[in-house]
Parts: sequence; C-alpha cells; structure tokens
Amino acid sequence: MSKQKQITQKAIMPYNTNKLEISPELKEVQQLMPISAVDYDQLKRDISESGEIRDPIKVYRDKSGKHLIVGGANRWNIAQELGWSTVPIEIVEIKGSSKIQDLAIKDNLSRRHLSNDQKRKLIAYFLKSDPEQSNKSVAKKSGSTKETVKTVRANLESGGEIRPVKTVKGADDKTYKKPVPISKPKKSEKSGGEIRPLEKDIDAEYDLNQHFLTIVKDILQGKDKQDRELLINSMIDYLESIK
Amino acid sequence: MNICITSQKGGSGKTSFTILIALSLSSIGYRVLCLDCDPQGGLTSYLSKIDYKKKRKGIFDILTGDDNYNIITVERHGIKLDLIPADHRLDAIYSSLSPYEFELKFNDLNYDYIIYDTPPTVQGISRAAAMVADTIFIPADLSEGTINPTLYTIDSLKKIKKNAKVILLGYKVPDKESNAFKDVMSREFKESLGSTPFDTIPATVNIKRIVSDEKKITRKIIETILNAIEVK
Repeated sequence: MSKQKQITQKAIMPYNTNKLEISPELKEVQQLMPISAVDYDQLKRDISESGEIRDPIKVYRDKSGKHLIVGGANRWNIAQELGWSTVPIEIVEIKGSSKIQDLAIKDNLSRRHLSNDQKRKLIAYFLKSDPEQSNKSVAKKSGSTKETVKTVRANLESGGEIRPVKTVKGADDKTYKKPVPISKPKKSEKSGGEIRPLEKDIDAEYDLNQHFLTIVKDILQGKDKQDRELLINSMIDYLESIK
Repeated sequence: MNICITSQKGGSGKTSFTILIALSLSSIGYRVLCLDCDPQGGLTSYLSKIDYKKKRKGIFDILTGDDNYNIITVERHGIKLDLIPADHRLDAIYSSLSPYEFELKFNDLNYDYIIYDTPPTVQGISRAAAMVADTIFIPADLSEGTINPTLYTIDSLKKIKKNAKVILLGYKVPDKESNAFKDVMSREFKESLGSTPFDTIPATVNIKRIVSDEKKITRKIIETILNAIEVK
C-alpha cells in the first residue's frame, strides 16, 4: 500500500504575465517535446472560450527573485497572445538544475503524445546527459519501454555517441553492475513440485539480492545432487528470461 | 531588522500592537516601514486616509509582479511612518503563499525596521513573514478564546524553528485570591505560557484611543513599548 504524503496547500496565485520568463532548464528540453500546431490551436481556443487557464503555470524563483517557467510555456504564450495581464502560477520550491529539468520534462511529457521518433530523441537526450542511468529509469522518465531504451543505447554506443558503461544507477540512485548476458542452457527436467517457482514480479535486472539469497539457500539446503542441479538450472532459466 | 506580528487569533491586538511599535520606534528616530499583510487592510485603514472605494495599490500588487512598491508616508502627531497598503484583493492569495515569498522582496529598501502585520492565520503570508523575521511578537488580549490560538501559534512557529515573545495586552498583575475576570485571565495566561518569554502592556495604556488617533502616544507609553520589544 502506498504511503500518502501530508496534504499541503500549493502556492498558487495570479502573476504579471510580462514578468515571467522561460527557465533555461525548460529551454534546453523544449524542442524534444514539441506541441503540434493542431494541439496549440485547440489549447488556445479552449483558453480563450473558457476565459481561464485551468492548470496554473509552474514556476520557480531564482536567486534574484525572477519567476522562471518550468511547465506551461504554451499556456503563457497563449495568455500573451490574448493580451491577458495576469496568469495563474504555481510556485514550486525546487533547487538544483537537474531536478528542475526533470520537473520540466515530467510536466510537459504528461501533456504530449510523442511519436516514436520523438521518444527516441528524448531517450537519446537522457542517455547522453548521463549514460549511467539504468534503462528502467530512462524508460520511466521518457514514457517508453526498457527494450526501446536498450535499442537506443546500443545505437548510441555503436556510433560512439556514448561510452559503454559497466555500472548503472537505478531509480533508487544506487549503483549496480550491468549484468552480463548468460548463454541459454539445455532444458532441464522438473520433478513436478519440489522446486519453488521463481517469481518474475521484481526487476531482477538490477535488484537480485533478496531473490538470489533465497535461491542459494535452497541450493545449499538441497538434500541431493539432483535437487541442487535442478535449482541451478532453474536459476539460469530465470536469468535468461529477464535478460 | 524585520519584525513579525502574528497570531492565529483574530482581534488579539496585532494591528494595534503594530501601530504602537511603529510609532514608538519612529519617535526615537528609526526609519520604519509597516507592511499591511492582512486582506482586511486594518492597518491601512487606521493609518492612511485612502478612500474606501479606491483600490489600495500595495502588497497584493507587489506579490503579483508589480515593481512599483507604492510606499505611502503617513503622519501621527508629528511622527512619520511609511506604509505598504493592503486591500481585499489579497484575500485570493494570502493563505497559499509560499513560505519563501518575502525572502528577497524588501532587502534593498533602506529601513531600520520593517514590521509585518499579519492576518489571523499561521499559514501562507503569516508564515512567509515569520520566515524572514528577526523578531516575532504574538500579541494576546486577555480573553478566554485567546489562550489556545496563542499556544498553537507558538507551536507552529517552533516547527519552522522560530521563537516568539508573547505580549499580553491589558495585563494586570493578578491578585492571587481574586476571582475577578482580569485576575483569573492574567493568572491562567501566565501558567499556560510556561517557559515561553512574555511581556506585558498594562491595562492603563489606552491602546484603542492611540490606535484610532484620538490620543497622542506619550513618552511613558513609548518607553513601555520599547521595553516590551527590548529596544533602547
């Protein structure tokens, strides 16, 4: 069950349209998540007809007090085109260029339908900025799959655009060794019940510790050679399946 | 130096105490700016002569991106004060402001003291004022409904690592044996505050008449106020 965060009031208020600027973090990634002309026009029509911007524009304040946009640049542009003197802003208290950029990407990505090609460009951007990010964390950030990230990574490595890495950082920020692919063994016979089925509900690519400990324990406790061999082969099958 | 006047209790004497402090400090030569942070605009109403029908350009405009601070100078019996007004427009935003809202706002202004008169809440604009304050005072009028909000305000400030001094307005040194209302209230307040520092403004100081400008603030009252806020 997920833990609920404490409910707090968001800092939302009207702000002088002309006093806002696009943040450098958003400028860097904006072109990776373009809005189509059709979507922009639809958004403009919706805002104009309703007379309001329903989702506040996300901003943070820099050291000089400037209000910089991390999400909602299109809504801001539209407000300027419509001649509105104020727009609703939500001030986010966030520090650190990489965290601000993550927020900029997350906020914009949730509003876009990117083509496959656009997604690959976004994945390439993430991998180039930090090749040690795991495929899983890049997939999560870009809204794509591990397999797509793996393909993009392989292309970038073969083209020399990123270096191959030996360790990767998981979503938990811990560093893991990049697993070496295991060659497929011959199929083993299962006795029909003595062996505990291996579970595939964890991301064993990088978080095998607990699961391996359980398997190793079983192997060591296995009463005879046949049991131990069956367990080892099951482990190999499992690793192969999650490769 | 930033002074925050705050309390969750409405009508506890925040605006009155703000005026008393401002007049006292200005009378001994300090440059004082009062910030009306309450959407009711009570401080603005007491100090200025702005027509109630007119928009009061001030704190709301500053918080929503206007660089023109519209500081107005007011005078009470020869004592001058500067004021940034407030009006009802502040009601739309005051409770949800970021706690860091005032961090850079008034740093460049050349005042000895900036006094923030806040609305009856510990959230939003009040918290933002407390965050930048060098000193915080919690005025408390002696009434039954004031003890709990005062204690809650003290606790809320502790959560943001701020300490405050309570100022008991209309305090009377309690007679231990007496069951008269003021004696009972004075005793209860003292007990409830525990180790929280406090000071008192005696009942003999006619706060209402000074605040409404019917009476001039006297030397003796100024000394009482300056003692309470520990300024020489």
